[in-house]
Amino acid sequence: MNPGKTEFKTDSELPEEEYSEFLNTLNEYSVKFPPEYVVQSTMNILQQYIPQRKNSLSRLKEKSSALFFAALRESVLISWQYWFFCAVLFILGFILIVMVNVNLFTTAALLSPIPFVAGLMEVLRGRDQGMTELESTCKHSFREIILSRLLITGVYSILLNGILASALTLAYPNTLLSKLVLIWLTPLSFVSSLSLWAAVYLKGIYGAASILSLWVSAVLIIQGIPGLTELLASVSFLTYAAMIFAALILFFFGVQRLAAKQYSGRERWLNHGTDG
Amino acid sequence: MELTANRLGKRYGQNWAVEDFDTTFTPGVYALIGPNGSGKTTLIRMLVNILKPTLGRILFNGKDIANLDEQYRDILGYLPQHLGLYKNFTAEQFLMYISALKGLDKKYALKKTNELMETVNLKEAGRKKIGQFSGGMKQRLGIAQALLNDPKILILDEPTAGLDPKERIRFRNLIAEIAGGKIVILSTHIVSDAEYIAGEIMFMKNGFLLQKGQPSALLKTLEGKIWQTQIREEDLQRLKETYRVGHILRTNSCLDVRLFAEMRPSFAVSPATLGLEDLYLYHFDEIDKQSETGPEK
Repeated sequence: MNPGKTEFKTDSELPEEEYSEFLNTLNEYSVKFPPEYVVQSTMNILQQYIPQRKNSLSRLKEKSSALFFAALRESVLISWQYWFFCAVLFILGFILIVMVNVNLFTTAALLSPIPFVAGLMEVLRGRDQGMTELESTCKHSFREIILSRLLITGVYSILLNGILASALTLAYPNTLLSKLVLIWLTPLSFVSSLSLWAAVYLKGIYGAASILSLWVSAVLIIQGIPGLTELLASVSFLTYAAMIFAALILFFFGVQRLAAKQYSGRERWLNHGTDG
Repeated sequence: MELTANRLGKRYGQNWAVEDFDTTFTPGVYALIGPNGSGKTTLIRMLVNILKPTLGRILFNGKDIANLDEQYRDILGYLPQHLGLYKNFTAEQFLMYISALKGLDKKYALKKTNELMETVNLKEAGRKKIGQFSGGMKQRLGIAQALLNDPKILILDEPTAGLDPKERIRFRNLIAEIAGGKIVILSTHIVSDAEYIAGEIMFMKNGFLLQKGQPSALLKTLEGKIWQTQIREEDLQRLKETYRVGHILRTNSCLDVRLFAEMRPSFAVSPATLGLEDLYLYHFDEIDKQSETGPEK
C-alpha cells in the first residue's frame, strides 16, 4: 500500500464501538434540508442545460438531409468521365437492342451493375489517393463521406437503369416493365453487394475491375448455354424478390464493414507513408 | 484552452511506438523533434484522433477527444506527413472541397481560400491541376488547407519538408502570425525551424518524451558540455576515438571541430556557442548513425 494513503474501512469492518462513535461525530453536524422552492428554482435553472432529446422522426429527417447535402458536396469530386462513360454505355446498350436486336433482357442485366461498380472506384478514390488521413480529421465524419458517395453512385445507377427500362418499354410495348425492372434490379443489387465486399479488402480499382470482369464473363457463359437465358427469364417474381432481399442484406453489411469500422479500417489505410 | 495527453501509449504488435507520453499543451507553439522512428507521427495521429491509443487518453479542456468527436474535429487543423491530394483538382477546387468537409459556409470558404492562396504564395497556380504541382507547392497547399477553419488546434507533421529556404521562412512567419491563442504542434527534423518558431521543444526518442522545455532552458542543460577547437586533419580520427564529435568545418589549413565532453578537455578548447542542433546531436548522435535509422513510427 502507498504509505501516504489513509486506509479506510467499510462500516461492516468497523468495530461496534468505533462505528457508534463515528456516527455521533457525524451527527454533530447538521445539514438543513433546503426549502422546496429552492430545490425547484435550482431545477428550473439547470433545466436549460439539459440537452433536448429529439424524437426519432426528426433525427431521421436531420440525418437524411445531412446525407443529401453531403452527397451534393461529394458529387463535385466524381470525375466527369464517370458520368459520361456510364451514360454513353447505356445509350449504346439501347441502340444495340433496338438496331441490332441483341437480347433485351441479357443486355439490360449485363449493363445494370456497371455504374455502381465503376462508381466504387470514385467512392474509394480518397482511400486510393491517400486522402483518408486528411479527410478523417475534417468535421464531417469519414463514415458520412463514404455513405454520401455510395448514395450518389447508387442513385445514378438506379436512374440510368430506370431510364433504360422506361425507354425499352416505350420501344417494345409488349415488354412487361415489372419483369424488366426485376431483371436489372437483381444483378444490380447482387453484383453491387459483392463488389462492395471486394472493395473492403482490395484497392478500389482492383476490387471493381475483378468483379466487373467476373460479371461480364458470367453473363457470356449464361448466354452460351442453350435455354438458360429463357430459364432465368421464367423464374418467378418471388424468387427474384428473395434474391434482391438477400443481396440488400449483403449490401447493408458491406456498407457497415466499409464505413462503420472506422478505426480498424482507417488504421490499415493509414499505412500510406512510412509510419510504422 | 488545454490539450492533455494522459499517459498515452500506442502498441503495434509487440512494439510500443509511443509509451507513457504525459504532457499538457496550452496555447503556444510546440515542436516535436526526434529522429525517424521516434514515434512523432504516431503521437500526432493520436492527437488528431485518427489512431486509438492503446493506453491513456487525450483530453481537450478535460473532455476525452474520443467522445468530443465532431466537436473536436471542428476546431482542428491538420497537415499529415504524407499528404494525398486529388490530382485532377485545381488548388482552388481542393481548398473548396476541404472547406465543405470542414462544414464551412460557402461565402466564407471562398474568401478564406483566396486569402490563403495568397498567404502560401499559390495565387497564380490556383487554377492549375494539383497533378502538375511540385512537392513544395503541394506542401504549401497542405498548409493552406489546415488553416481553412481558423483552427484552435493546429497540428502539422513535418510541415517544412520539401520547402525551399525562402518558403520555410515564409512558413515560420506565418506560424508566428497566426499562433496567438492557438495550440500549434509541429513535428520536424529541421532543428532550425523549431528553434525559430517554437516556444517549447519536445525531444522524442524510441516513443518516449525525452526532454521538454523552452529552448533557452534546454540549452542551459548543455552548458559546459560542448567545446570548440581547431585541429589538423590527421588528428580528427584520434579525436573521434575519444570524444563524440559534432559539426566539423573545414577552414584553410585545419578543421574547426565541435565536440561533446562532460569535462573540459585538457587540450586547447573554448566553450562553444550553443544551438538546438547541438542538443539534437547530444541526444541522438545523429551524424554517425544517420544511415542506421529505421522507418518513421
